[in-house]
Amino acid sequence: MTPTPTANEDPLERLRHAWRERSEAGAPSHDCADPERLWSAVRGEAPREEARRLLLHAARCPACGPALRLAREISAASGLVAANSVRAGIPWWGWAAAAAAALALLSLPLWLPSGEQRDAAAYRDPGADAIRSLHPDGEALPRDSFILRWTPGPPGTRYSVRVSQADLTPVASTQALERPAWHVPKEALAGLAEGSVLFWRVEAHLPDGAESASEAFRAQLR
Amino acid sequence: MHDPGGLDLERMRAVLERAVARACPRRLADRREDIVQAALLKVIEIHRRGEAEALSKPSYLWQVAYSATVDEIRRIARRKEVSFDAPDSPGAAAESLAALGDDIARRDLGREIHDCLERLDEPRRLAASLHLHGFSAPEAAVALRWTLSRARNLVFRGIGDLRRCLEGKGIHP
Repeated sequence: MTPTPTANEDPLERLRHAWRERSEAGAPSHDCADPERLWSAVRGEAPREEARRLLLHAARCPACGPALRLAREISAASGLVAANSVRAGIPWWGWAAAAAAALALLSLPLWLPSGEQRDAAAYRDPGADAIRSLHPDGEALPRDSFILRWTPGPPGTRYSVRVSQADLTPVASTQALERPAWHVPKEALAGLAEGSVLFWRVEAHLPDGAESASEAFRAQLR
Repeated sequence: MHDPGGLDLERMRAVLERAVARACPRRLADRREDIVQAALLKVIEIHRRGEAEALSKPSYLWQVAYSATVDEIRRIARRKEVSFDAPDSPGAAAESLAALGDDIARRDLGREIHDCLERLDEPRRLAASLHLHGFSAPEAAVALRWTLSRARNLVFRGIGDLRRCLEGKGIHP
Protein backbone atom coordinates (compact mmCIF):
# COMPACT_ATOMS: atom_id res chain seq x y z
CA MET A 1 0.00 0.00 0.00
CA THR A 2 1.66 3.22 -1.14
CA PRO A 3 0.15 6.71 -1.01
CA THR A 4 -1.42 7.74 -4.28
CA PRO A 5 0.74 10.35 -5.98
CA THR A 6 -0.90 13.51 -7.22
CA ALA A 7 -0.16 14.79 -10.71
CA ASN A 8 2.33 17.44 -9.61
CA GLU A 9 3.92 15.69 -6.67
CA ASP A 10 7.69 15.48 -6.77
CA PRO A 11 8.64 11.80 -6.30
CA LEU A 12 11.53 12.72 -4.03
CA GLU A 13 9.22 14.83 -1.87
CA ARG A 14 6.84 11.88 -1.62
CA LEU A 15 9.65 9.66 -0.33
CA ARG A 16 10.78 12.37 2.08
CA HIS A 17 7.27 12.73 3.40
CA ALA A 18 6.96 8.99 3.96
CA TRP A 19 10.38 8.95 5.63
CA ARG A 20 9.41 11.84 7.92
CA GLU A 21 6.02 10.40 8.84
CA ARG A 22 7.69 7.10 9.66
CA SER A 23 8.99 8.84 12.78
CA GLU A 24 6.98 7.68 15.73
CA ALA A 25 6.33 9.94 18.67
CA GLY A 26 8.30 7.52 20.81
CA ALA A 27 10.82 8.44 23.47
CA PRO A 28 14.50 8.38 22.45
CA SER A 29 16.58 5.38 23.45
CA HIS A 30 19.91 5.38 25.27
CA ASP A 31 21.59 5.35 21.84
CA CYS A 32 20.10 8.71 20.94
CA ALA A 33 22.53 11.62 21.23
CA ASP A 34 22.03 14.74 23.28
CA PRO A 35 20.71 17.56 21.09
CA GLU A 36 23.90 19.55 21.62
CA ARG A 37 26.06 16.81 20.11
CA LEU A 38 23.75 16.37 17.15
CA TRP A 39 23.80 20.13 16.60
CA SER A 40 27.60 20.12 16.55
CA ALA A 41 27.67 17.20 14.13
CA VAL A 42 25.29 18.84 11.67
CA ARG A 43 27.30 22.07 11.78
CA GLY A 44 30.56 20.30 11.05
CA GLU A 45 31.99 21.01 14.50
CA ALA A 46 32.18 17.45 15.81
CA PRO A 47 35.20 15.22 15.19
CA ARG A 48 34.79 13.34 11.93
CA GLU A 49 34.36 9.87 13.46
CA GLU A 50 31.91 11.09 16.07
CA ALA A 51 29.88 12.91 13.41
CA ARG A 52 29.77 9.76 11.28
CA ARG A 53 28.57 7.66 14.20
CA LEU A 54 25.97 10.19 15.39
CA LEU A 55 24.55 10.84 11.95
CA LEU A 56 24.50 7.16 11.02
CA HIS A 57 22.29 6.53 14.03
CA ALA A 58 20.15 9.66 13.81
CA ALA A 59 19.48 9.31 10.09
CA ARG A 60 17.64 6.02 10.58
CA CYS A 61 16.33 6.35 14.15
CA PRO A 62 12.65 7.40 14.12
CA ALA A 63 12.97 9.14 17.48
CA CYS A 64 16.03 11.14 16.34
CA GLY A 65 14.61 12.13 12.94
CA PRO A 66 12.90 15.34 14.08
CA ALA A 67 16.01 16.42 16.03
CA LEU A 68 18.22 15.82 12.99
CA ARG A 69 15.95 17.75 10.65
CA LEU A 70 15.57 20.58 13.15
CA ALA A 71 19.34 20.93 13.44
CA ARG A 72 19.60 21.26 9.69
CA GLU A 73 16.65 23.64 9.34
CA ILE A 74 17.71 25.96 12.16
CA SER A 75 21.38 25.97 11.16
CA ALA A 76 20.49 26.84 7.60
CA ALA A 77 17.87 29.46 8.46
CA SER A 78 20.05 31.18 11.03
CA GLY A 79 22.91 31.42 8.55
CA LEU A 80 25.28 29.34 10.66
CA VAL A 81 26.11 26.62 8.15
CA ALA A 82 27.55 28.90 5.51
CA ALA A 83 30.37 29.95 7.82
CA ASN A 84 31.24 26.34 8.48
CA SER A 85 31.43 25.43 4.80
CA VAL A 86 34.98 26.75 4.75
CA ARG A 87 35.98 24.03 7.17
CA ALA A 88 34.28 21.27 5.21
CA GLY A 89 37.26 20.40 3.08
CA ILE A 90 35.57 21.55 -0.10
CA PRO A 91 38.34 21.81 -2.69
CA TRP A 92 39.28 25.12 -4.20
CA TRP A 93 37.89 24.16 -7.59
CA GLY A 94 34.47 23.76 -5.98
CA TRP A 95 34.53 27.39 -5.00
CA ALA A 96 35.91 28.36 -8.39
CA ALA A 97 33.02 26.57 -10.08
CA ALA A 98 30.54 28.32 -7.81
CA ALA A 99 32.10 31.68 -8.61
CA ALA A 100 31.93 30.92 -12.34
CA ALA A 101 28.28 29.95 -12.01
CA ALA A 102 27.55 33.19 -10.16
CA LEU A 103 29.25 35.21 -12.88
CA ALA A 104 27.30 33.34 -15.55
CA LEU A 105 24.07 34.09 -13.73
CA LEU A 106 24.84 37.81 -13.56
CA SER A 107 25.16 37.87 -17.33
CA LEU A 108 21.76 36.25 -17.93
CA PRO A 109 19.14 38.34 -19.71
CA LEU A 110 16.70 38.10 -16.82
CA TRP A 111 13.12 39.18 -17.16
CA LEU A 112 11.87 40.44 -13.84
CA PRO A 113 8.21 41.40 -13.98
CA SER A 114 7.86 44.65 -12.05
CA GLY A 115 4.28 43.93 -11.10
CA GLU A 116 5.24 40.78 -9.29
CA GLN A 117 7.00 42.44 -6.35
CA ARG A 118 5.13 41.52 -3.22
CA ASP A 119 5.69 42.07 0.46
CA ALA A 120 7.45 39.61 2.71
CA ALA A 121 4.36 38.69 4.68
CA ALA A 122 2.54 37.41 1.63
CA TYR A 123 5.65 35.63 0.40
CA ARG A 124 6.12 33.54 3.50
CA ASP A 125 2.45 32.56 3.74
CA PRO A 126 2.36 29.02 2.38
CA GLY A 127 -1.39 29.35 1.79
CA ALA A 128 -0.76 32.11 -0.71
CA ASP A 129 1.27 29.91 -3.10
CA ALA A 130 3.84 32.66 -2.80
CA ILE A 131 6.50 31.12 -5.03
CA ARG A 132 4.95 30.54 -8.41
CA SER A 133 6.56 29.36 -11.58
CA LEU A 134 6.52 31.89 -14.41
CA HIS A 135 6.30 29.03 -16.90
CA PRO A 136 3.17 27.16 -17.99
CA ASP A 137 3.03 23.72 -16.34
CA GLY A 138 5.24 21.29 -18.24
CA GLU A 139 6.59 23.91 -20.63
CA ALA A 140 9.28 22.60 -22.99
CA LEU A 141 12.53 24.52 -22.50
CA PRO A 142 15.54 24.35 -24.80
CA ARG A 143 18.57 22.46 -23.54
CA ASP A 144 20.93 25.36 -24.28
CA SER A 145 18.91 27.92 -22.36
CA PHE A 146 17.06 25.94 -19.74
CA ILE A 147 16.26 28.97 -17.60
CA LEU A 148 13.82 28.56 -14.74
CA ARG A 149 12.02 31.67 -13.51
CA TRP A 150 9.70 32.25 -10.59
CA THR A 151 8.02 35.08 -8.72
CA PRO A 152 10.46 37.18 -6.68
CA GLY A 153 10.47 37.60 -2.91
CA PRO A 154 11.25 40.80 -1.01
CA PRO A 155 14.64 42.46 -1.58
CA GLY A 156 17.48 40.48 -0.06
CA THR A 157 15.81 37.10 -0.57
CA ARG A 158 18.13 34.23 -1.55
CA TYR A 159 16.95 31.18 -3.44
CA SER A 160 17.90 27.51 -3.61
CA VAL A 161 16.73 25.39 -6.52
CA ARG A 162 16.77 21.65 -6.99
CA VAL A 163 16.04 19.88 -10.27
CA SER A 164 15.44 16.14 -10.48
CA GLN A 165 14.11 13.57 -12.89
CA ALA A 166 10.76 11.89 -12.41
CA ASP A 167 12.59 8.81 -11.09
CA LEU A 168 14.25 10.89 -8.31
CA THR A 169 17.65 11.10 -9.92
CA PRO A 170 19.13 14.49 -8.98
CA VAL A 171 19.97 16.57 -12.07
CA ALA A 172 21.28 19.83 -10.67
CA SER A 173 20.96 22.13 -7.70
CA THR A 174 22.16 25.51 -6.62
CA GLN A 175 22.03 27.75 -3.59
CA ALA A 176 22.20 31.40 -2.58
CA LEU A 177 20.86 32.79 -5.84
CA GLU A 178 20.18 36.50 -5.61
CA ARG A 179 17.70 36.61 -8.46
CA PRO A 180 14.53 34.59 -9.04
CA ALA A 181 15.90 32.71 -12.01
CA TRP A 182 18.42 30.01 -12.70
CA HIS A 183 20.10 28.91 -15.88
CA VAL A 184 20.52 25.15 -15.42
CA PRO A 185 23.99 24.28 -16.75
CA LYS A 186 23.89 22.55 -20.12
CA GLU A 187 26.34 19.95 -18.82
CA ALA A 188 23.86 18.84 -16.17
CA LEU A 189 21.31 18.09 -18.90
CA ALA A 190 23.75 16.34 -21.21
CA GLY A 191 22.68 12.77 -20.47
CA LEU A 192 18.95 13.41 -20.68
CA ALA A 193 16.82 12.51 -23.66
CA GLU A 194 14.72 15.07 -25.49
CA GLY A 195 11.25 15.13 -23.98
CA SER A 196 12.46 14.20 -20.48
CA VAL A 197 10.18 15.56 -17.77
CA LEU A 198 12.02 17.32 -14.96
CA PHE A 199 10.73 18.49 -11.59
CA TRP A 200 12.07 21.67 -10.03
CA ARG A 201 11.48 23.22 -6.66
CA VAL A 202 12.50 26.55 -5.14
CA GLU A 203 13.25 27.42 -1.53
CA ALA A 204 13.35 31.09 -0.63
CA HIS A 205 15.38 32.31 2.33
CA LEU A 206 13.93 35.63 3.39
CA PRO A 207 16.01 38.44 4.90
CA ASP A 208 14.35 37.99 8.31
CA GLY A 209 15.40 34.33 8.45
CA ALA A 210 12.05 32.87 7.45
CA GLU A 211 11.88 30.35 4.64
CA SER A 212 9.30 29.54 2.04
CA ALA A 213 9.24 26.56 -0.29
CA SER A 214 7.39 26.17 -3.54
CA GLU A 215 5.48 23.19 -4.78
CA ALA A 216 7.24 21.06 -7.37
CA PHE A 217 6.98 22.45 -10.89
CA ARG A 218 7.37 20.49 -14.10
CA ALA A 219 9.32 21.32 -17.20
CA GLN A 220 10.19 19.34 -20.28
CA LEU A 221 13.53 19.19 -22.00
CA ARG A 222 13.42 20.26 -25.65
CA MET B 1 9.54 42.27 19.01
CA HIS B 2 13.20 43.28 19.05
CA ASP B 3 14.83 43.02 22.44
CA PRO B 4 17.11 45.99 23.21
CA GLY B 5 19.71 43.51 24.44
CA GLY B 6 20.28 42.30 20.89
CA LEU B 7 18.02 39.27 20.92
CA ASP B 8 15.83 39.34 17.82
CA LEU B 9 12.96 37.23 19.10
CA GLU B 10 10.72 37.90 16.13
CA ARG B 11 13.27 36.43 13.76
CA MET B 12 14.01 33.53 16.06
CA ARG B 13 10.31 32.74 16.38
CA ALA B 14 9.89 32.81 12.60
CA VAL B 15 12.84 30.46 12.11
CA LEU B 16 11.69 28.06 14.83
CA GLU B 17 8.10 27.97 13.61
CA ARG B 18 9.24 27.20 10.11
CA ALA B 19 11.74 24.57 11.26
CA VAL B 20 9.28 22.82 13.55
CA ALA B 21 6.60 22.79 10.85
CA ARG B 22 9.01 21.19 8.40
CA ALA B 23 10.86 18.84 10.71
CA CYS B 24 8.14 17.34 12.89
CA PRO B 25 5.76 14.54 12.00
CA ARG B 26 2.20 15.60 11.27
CA ARG B 27 1.04 14.00 14.50
CA LEU B 28 2.71 16.86 16.36
CA ALA B 29 1.03 19.54 14.26
CA ASP B 30 -1.29 20.69 17.02
CA ARG B 31 1.64 21.08 19.43
CA ARG B 32 3.85 23.25 17.26
CA GLU B 33 3.01 26.54 18.95
CA ASP B 34 3.58 25.03 22.39
CA ILE B 35 6.95 23.66 21.30
CA VAL B 36 8.15 26.97 19.88
CA GLN B 37 6.85 28.95 22.84
CA ALA B 38 8.63 26.70 25.34
CA ALA B 39 11.89 27.00 23.41
CA LEU B 40 11.65 30.80 23.22
CA LEU B 41 10.99 31.07 26.94
CA LYS B 42 14.19 29.16 27.63
CA VAL B 43 16.16 31.41 25.27
CA ILE B 44 14.76 34.52 26.95
CA GLU B 45 15.60 33.15 30.38
CA ILE B 46 19.22 32.47 29.44
CA HIS B 47 19.58 35.78 27.66
CA ARG B 48 18.19 37.76 30.58
CA ARG B 49 20.46 35.95 33.01
CA GLY B 50 23.22 37.41 30.88
CA GLU B 51 25.25 34.24 30.63
CA ALA B 52 28.63 35.15 29.23
CA GLU B 53 28.60 32.60 26.43
CA ALA B 54 25.18 33.77 25.26
CA LEU B 55 26.33 37.36 25.05
CA SER B 56 29.69 36.72 23.43
CA LYS B 57 28.65 34.09 20.90
CA PRO B 58 25.38 34.69 19.01
CA SER B 59 25.35 31.12 17.68
CA TYR B 60 25.02 29.89 21.26
CA LEU B 61 21.49 31.27 21.48
CA TRP B 62 20.54 29.39 18.34
CA GLN B 63 21.94 26.24 19.89
CA VAL B 64 19.88 26.90 23.03
CA ALA B 65 16.78 27.43 20.91
CA TYR B 66 17.46 24.19 19.04
CA SER B 67 18.10 22.15 22.20
CA ALA B 68 15.02 23.54 23.92
CA THR B 69 12.90 22.68 20.89
CA VAL B 70 14.19 19.10 20.78
CA ASP B 71 13.73 18.73 24.55
CA GLU B 72 10.14 19.85 24.23
CA ILE B 73 9.45 17.41 21.38
CA ARG B 74 10.99 14.56 23.36
CA ARG B 75 9.05 15.57 26.48
CA ILE B 76 5.81 15.34 24.52
CA ALA B 77 6.89 11.99 23.12
CA ARG B 78 7.62 10.62 26.59
CA ARG B 79 4.26 11.71 27.93
CA LYS B 80 2.54 10.17 24.91
CA GLU B 81 0.21 13.12 24.77
CA VAL B 82 -0.23 12.94 21.02
CA SER B 83 -3.68 11.84 19.92
CA PHE B 84 -5.95 12.13 16.94
CA ASP B 85 -8.72 14.71 17.27
CA ALA B 86 -12.23 13.31 17.03
CA PRO B 87 -13.95 14.45 13.84
CA ASP B 88 -17.04 16.58 14.43
CA SER B 89 -19.03 15.85 11.26
CA PRO B 90 -19.56 13.00 8.76
CA GLY B 91 -17.57 14.92 6.16
CA ALA B 92 -14.75 15.47 8.60
CA ALA B 93 -14.89 11.80 9.54
CA ALA B 94 -14.46 10.79 5.90
CA GLU B 95 -11.55 13.20 5.51
CA SER B 96 -10.03 11.95 8.73
CA LEU B 97 -10.33 8.36 7.55
CA ALA B 98 -8.70 9.23 4.24
CA ALA B 99 -5.88 11.01 6.08
CA LEU B 100 -5.44 8.00 8.33
CA GLY B 101 -5.24 5.78 5.24
CA ASP B 102 -2.57 8.06 3.83
CA ASP B 103 -0.69 7.93 7.14
CA ILE B 104 -0.71 4.15 7.11
CA ALA B 105 0.38 4.08 3.48
CA ARG B 106 3.25 6.46 4.20
CA ARG B 107 4.38 4.40 7.16
CA ASP B 108 4.33 1.29 4.94
CA LEU B 109 6.40 3.14 2.37
CA GLY B 110 8.66 4.38 5.15
CA ARG B 111 9.33 0.82 6.25
CA GLU B 112 10.20 -0.22 2.70
CA ILE B 113 12.54 2.75 2.39
CA HIS B 114 14.22 1.73 5.64
CA ASP B 115 14.60 -1.85 4.43
CA CYS B 116 16.18 -0.68 1.17
CA LEU B 117 18.54 1.75 2.90
CA GLU B 118 19.78 -1.01 5.19
CA ARG B 119 20.98 -2.90 2.10
CA LEU B 120 23.27 -0.08 0.96
CA ASP B 121 26.89 0.19 1.97
CA GLU B 122 27.46 2.68 4.74
CA PRO B 123 28.55 5.82 2.84
CA ARG B 124 25.68 5.56 0.34
CA ARG B 125 23.21 4.74 3.11
CA LEU B 126 24.35 7.76 5.07
CA ALA B 127 24.21 10.07 2.05
CA ALA B 128 20.80 8.83 0.86
CA SER B 129 19.17 8.86 4.28
CA LEU B 130 20.46 12.37 5.04
CA HIS B 131 19.14 13.47 1.65
CA LEU B 132 15.73 12.07 2.59
CA HIS B 133 15.92 14.15 5.76
CA GLY B 134 16.39 17.23 3.58
CA PHE B 135 20.18 17.59 3.58
CA SER B 136 21.66 18.94 0.38
CA ALA B 137 25.00 17.56 -0.81
CA PRO B 138 26.87 20.65 0.50
CA GLU B 139 25.21 20.24 3.91
CA ALA B 140 26.16 16.57 4.06
CA ALA B 141 29.70 17.54 3.05
CA VAL B 142 29.93 20.02 5.92
CA ALA B 143 28.64 17.57 8.53
CA LEU B 144 30.73 14.58 7.45
CA ARG B 145 33.87 16.40 6.26
CA TRP B 146 33.44 15.00 2.80
CA THR B 147 34.51 16.88 -0.28
CA LEU B 148 31.59 18.32 -2.17
CA SER B 149 32.19 16.03 -5.14
CA ARG B 150 32.22 12.95 -2.88
CA ALA B 151 28.99 14.05 -1.20
CA ARG B 152 27.30 14.66 -4.55
CA ASN B 153 28.47 11.33 -5.89
CA LEU B 154 27.25 9.40 -2.84
CA VAL B 155 23.86 11.14 -2.84
CA PHE B 156 23.45 10.44 -6.54
CA ARG B 157 24.38 6.78 -6.24
CA GLY B 158 22.59 6.22 -2.93
CA ILE B 159 19.30 7.64 -4.21
CA GLY B 160 19.69 5.62 -7.41
CA ASP B 161 20.22 2.41 -5.42
CA LEU B 162 17.20 3.24 -3.27
CA ARG B 163 15.02 3.80 -6.32
CA ARG B 164 16.06 0.51 -7.88
CA CYS B 165 15.46 -1.35 -4.62
CA LEU B 166 11.96 0.13 -4.29
CA GLU B 167 11.19 -0.73 -7.90
CA GLY B 168 12.27 -4.29 -7.12
CA LYS B 169 9.57 -4.31 -4.47
CA GLY B 170 7.00 -3.09 -6.98
CA ILE B 171 7.05 0.47 -5.64
CA HIS B 172 7.38 3.18 -8.27
CA PRO B 173 7.65 6.49 -6.40
